[in-house]
Amino acid sequence: MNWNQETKNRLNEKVAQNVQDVGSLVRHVVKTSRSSELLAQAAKNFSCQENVIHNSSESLKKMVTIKTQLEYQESAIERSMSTLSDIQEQLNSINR
Amino acid sequence: MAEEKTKEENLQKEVEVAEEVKEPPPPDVVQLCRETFQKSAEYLHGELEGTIEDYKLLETLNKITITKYTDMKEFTENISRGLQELNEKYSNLHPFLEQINQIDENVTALEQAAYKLDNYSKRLESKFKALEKR
Repeated sequence: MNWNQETKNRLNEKVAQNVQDVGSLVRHVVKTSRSSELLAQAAKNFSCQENVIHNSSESLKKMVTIKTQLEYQESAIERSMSTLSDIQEQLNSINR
Repeated sequence: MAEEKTKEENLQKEVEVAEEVKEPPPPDVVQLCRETFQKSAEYLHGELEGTIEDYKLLETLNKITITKYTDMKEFTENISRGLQELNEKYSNLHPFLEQINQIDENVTALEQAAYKLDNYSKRLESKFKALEKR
């Protein structure tokens, strides 16, 4: 019975050791791949670009507003162009 | 060759092949093994969790950036279309703008003539007043 118990204890130790070894192996692989550093650097670069992207987006929205205002002004100019012929006639009559 | 083959076959029939008797493991042991491997897998998954979360973060950042760039692309297309239309309308308005320039020149000339007339009339008035005094 003692021999059985000893065998069981050894088996438990071996299994625990194996699990710990596999865990160490995984940690070693993750650490040597330096993936956390690379990914953190990529995330930092992204956050630096965020400001630039936001400014670009805001500038484009302002440009859309300016374009709309230009369209309004152009349509107002077109409406005013209809009176040009009258003005020209009046000037011609004055010049005569 | 045939004799050797028959001899081997006879030997195989005479020799008893011993096989290990394997009893099926008890169900609680099977269950415990299953739990052990499952928990080991969870433990290993936990070790990789940090890297997985980093990748998920980058994926989220990428998706958000894609959305923003798509919006910016739509804005840019809208602006481009609008500016093309404005350019066409401006080219159509060109003769009218030249007419406005001509009208402006005419009005300036008219204004000059009006100033000259005004000066002449003032001089005429002053001469008339001088003559009246005599």
